[in-house]
Amino acid sequence: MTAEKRIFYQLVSAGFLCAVIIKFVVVFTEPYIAKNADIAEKKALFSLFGLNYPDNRIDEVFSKYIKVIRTETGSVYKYYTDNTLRSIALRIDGMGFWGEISALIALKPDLKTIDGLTIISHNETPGLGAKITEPEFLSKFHNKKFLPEIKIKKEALADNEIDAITGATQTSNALEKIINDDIREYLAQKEKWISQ
Amino acid sequence: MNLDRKTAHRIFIDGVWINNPIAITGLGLCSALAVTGRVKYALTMSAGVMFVNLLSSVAVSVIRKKIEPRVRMAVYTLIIAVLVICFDRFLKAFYPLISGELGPYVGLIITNCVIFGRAEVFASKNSPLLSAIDALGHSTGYAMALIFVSVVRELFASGTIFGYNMFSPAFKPWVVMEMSPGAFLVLAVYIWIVRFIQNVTERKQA
Repeated sequence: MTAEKRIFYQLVSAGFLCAVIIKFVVVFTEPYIAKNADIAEKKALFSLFGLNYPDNRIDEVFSKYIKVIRTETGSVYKYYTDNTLRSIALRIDGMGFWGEISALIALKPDLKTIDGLTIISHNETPGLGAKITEPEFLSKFHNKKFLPEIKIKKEALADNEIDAITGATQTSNALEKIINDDIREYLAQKEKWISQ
Repeated sequence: MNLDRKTAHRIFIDGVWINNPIAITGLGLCSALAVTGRVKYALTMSAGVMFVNLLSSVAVSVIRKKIEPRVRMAVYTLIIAVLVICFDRFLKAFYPLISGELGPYVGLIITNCVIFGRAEVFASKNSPLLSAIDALGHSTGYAMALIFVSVVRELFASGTIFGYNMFSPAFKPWVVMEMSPGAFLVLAVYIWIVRFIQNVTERKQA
C-alpha cells in the first residue's frame, strides 16, 4: 500500500470511529441535559413567583399553578392560585455587553408594575457586569413601573428608574434595552396571551 | 514489561515538579487564568485535564507505531477532541450548575497545550504504561498550579474557600482578585515561588 493510501484509510477510519463514539455519548447524555435545562427554567420561574418546593415536586407544582403560552417573541408563563392571575412572567433575550443575556421578567396582573426579574444565563464580566445576577441588584426591580419605559441609571429617583451597577454601565444599558424592547414586543401582541 | 520504580518515579516527578506545566514550561496558562476564580472550578478543570490527558496519552502511545507520521497531529487532535466532548457532556448531564458556570472553558481543554504537548513529546515515543505515568504527573503539576491560584483568589475575592466563610463578616472583598488582573498577579507569584524553591535546591546540590 502506498503512503497516500495508508493516510487516507487511517484518517477515514479515525474519523469514523470518533463520530461513532461521539454519537453514543450524545445519545446517552441527551435526556439528562434536556431535563436539566427544563429544571433550571422552572426553578427560575419558581423563585420569581416566590414558590419554594424541592426538586422532586417541581413538575407537579408547575403543571398545577403555571400556564405556558408560546408566542413569537418567547414564552409567557401565567401564575394562578385559586383561579386568580397572580403574576405573568415573560422570557426575554438579547445582546448584553459580551454575549447573549436570557432572563425572565415577572409583571403584576395590572400590566404596569414589575413583580421581579431573574437572569437565566449571561456572559458578562465576573465581578462587574455579572452583578446583574445578584439579589442585591435584582431586588431593585420589585414594584417598579415599566411604563413608559424602564431606565437603569445613576441615582435612580422616579418609580421607573433603577440604580445602575457601578463599573458596568454597558451591561446596565444593554439590560435596559433588552427589557424595554421585549416588553414592548410582548405588549404589542397582548391579545394573544392575556385572555387565555 | 518490567517497570522499575525508579523510572516511574522519575517520570512522574518530571511532570509534577521539574517540568511543571505552568511554572516551568509555561503551558496551559490560559485556563489557569480563566477558571481559577473559585476552587471548585479549578478542581473540575483539573479533573477534566487529567481524564483527557491520561486517556489521550495511552491512546496515542498504542497507535504510535502504526500511524503515518504526516497525519499524526490530525489524529491526536481527533482523539483529544472526542475525550473533551465526552467530559463536557458528562458535566452538562450530571453537574449542570458547574458546567454552566465554567461556560466555554471545558470545551477549550481541546486546545490545552499540556495535553497536546504530552501526546507529541512523550506518548508518541514511549509505551502506554510510561505514557500513563507521564500524563498523570503532568496533570498533577497542572492541578497544583490551578489549586494554588484558585485558593488565593477565592480567599481574597470573597473571603471563602469552597463557599465556606474564612474571615469575619467585616472582611472587605478584593474585587480585583476576581477579575483577570488578580489572576495574572497570583499566577506570577506562583511561578516565582516555584522557581525560587528550584533555584535554592539546585544551588544546594551544586
